[in-house]
Amino acid sequence: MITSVPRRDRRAVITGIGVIAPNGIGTDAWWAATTAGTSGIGRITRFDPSRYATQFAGEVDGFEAVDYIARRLTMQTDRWTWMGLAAAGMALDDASFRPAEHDPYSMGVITASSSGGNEFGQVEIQALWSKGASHVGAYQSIAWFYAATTGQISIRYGMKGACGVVVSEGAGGLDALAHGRRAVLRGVDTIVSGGVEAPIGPYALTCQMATGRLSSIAEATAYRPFDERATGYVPGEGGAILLIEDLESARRRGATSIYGEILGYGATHDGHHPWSLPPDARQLTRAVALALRDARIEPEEIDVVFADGAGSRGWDDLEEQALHAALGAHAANVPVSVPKTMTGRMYAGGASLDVASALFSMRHGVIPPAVHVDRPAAGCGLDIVREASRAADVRTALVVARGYGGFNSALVLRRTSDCPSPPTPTGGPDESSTLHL
Amino acid sequence: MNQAPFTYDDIKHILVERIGFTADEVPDDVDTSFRELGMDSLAVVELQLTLQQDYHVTIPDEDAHAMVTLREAIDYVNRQRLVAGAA
Repeated sequence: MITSVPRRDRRAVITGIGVIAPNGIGTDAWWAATTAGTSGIGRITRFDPSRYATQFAGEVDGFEAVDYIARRLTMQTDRWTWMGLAAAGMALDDASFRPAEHDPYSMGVITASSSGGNEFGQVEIQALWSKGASHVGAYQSIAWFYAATTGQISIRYGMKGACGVVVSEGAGGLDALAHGRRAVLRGVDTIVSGGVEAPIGPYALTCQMATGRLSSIAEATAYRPFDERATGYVPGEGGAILLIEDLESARRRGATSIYGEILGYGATHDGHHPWSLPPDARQLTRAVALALRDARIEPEEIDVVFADGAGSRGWDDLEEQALHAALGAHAANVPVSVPKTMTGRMYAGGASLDVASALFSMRHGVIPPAVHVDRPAAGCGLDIVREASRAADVRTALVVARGYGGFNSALVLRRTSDCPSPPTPTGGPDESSTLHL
Repeated sequence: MNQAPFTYDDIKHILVERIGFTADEVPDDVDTSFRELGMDSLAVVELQLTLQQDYHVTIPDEDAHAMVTLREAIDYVNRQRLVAGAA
């Protein structure tokens, strides 16, 4: 039953992760590359970029949709949805969660998207303007819009409970997970959540270039957040889909792998001009502070920060100011990383992948790096993880994300072995032997 | 206008190239229904649009939805082309 008020006796934990990233398909390949500092950024190959100001991106090479979904479905959907379906399948497998064994209304899908099925849509729009309306295919009606990936995952796995899509650009990857957490706290047992994006096409790239925030440096090292040579960011495709479950539901079904809990969340809006720099870091600061308050933790408990890392001096300065304002003296001591430097900014997919990085850091005791940040800007005052990767005991992680248009979001995650013990379950077979909580 | 008749092979080609079936998913039996193939209403619209574009026939929505089997679609297209050719 869904209740309108979140219940504190329910806890939203992440039990499965699926990753499609420019530096690795599947969590094994991706994490090995990420902790080795291996970047997936290169010159765009999906089309000829020579007439574009931005020519480098993080593309997912070797991704074949038919390896994951039926050919008929590939004809009806965009590359973005192919990635979403593939990553969702990986997350369910990772969690050993079999949807067919559960009440359809106890499961939902809440993803983020920032450009929808733009490549599919471009082809149909070209048909419209070059040949006429009768040449637009029927599947345009279901392939391009933001909710398409949520809908296709819902249909494929028979998940008929709370479903939705969040559109808040780079903040979306956190906003979707927070929305999924809220659904779980309100009574839905299982939510497939996160985000992926496939924005490396001519039309999509043109839209991104209009923001003025992309780097036009044609080098794989162009994206250098918090560096004195920051020139903007490099776009990327892919992301992560995660399985969120209520802790008790996960225990009841015998889940053996729980990465961590979504402990807190805060979101604000700059309330300023949608595409210019806000006058101060007030709203980003509030987002972080709200997330800490929601998590009921002190700044000193944060073991690592996965920063937004916009890659432009003004935006990076604001984030640095926000971290200092929200975390106090701890901001200078806590390790800060931007693994997006190895993938490019994946819009709705970026922050979801950062959450995956945070959870893997907890599990493996290693923080991946921000690569190519060789010269941190003067007065940066943050401990950027620049070496290959750093061993660390990570119990609690903060992930920060911003979205074009003024969106600020922050999410706090905690390693499950460090979560307070839940009430002793009544009945059910021997959960305690399979879980280490 | 001299043109070859629209055949089973032609409609199978559309089902593979435009609807996304693999060749072995389309049975040889022309009396197979679109429903048996697993085509939903949107797939029928895609077929309708493709037939209109590639074979220059006009297929009103009610006629498209009334086609049950591959044979009915084949016969419909050939009939429409005869009418158009005679006009």
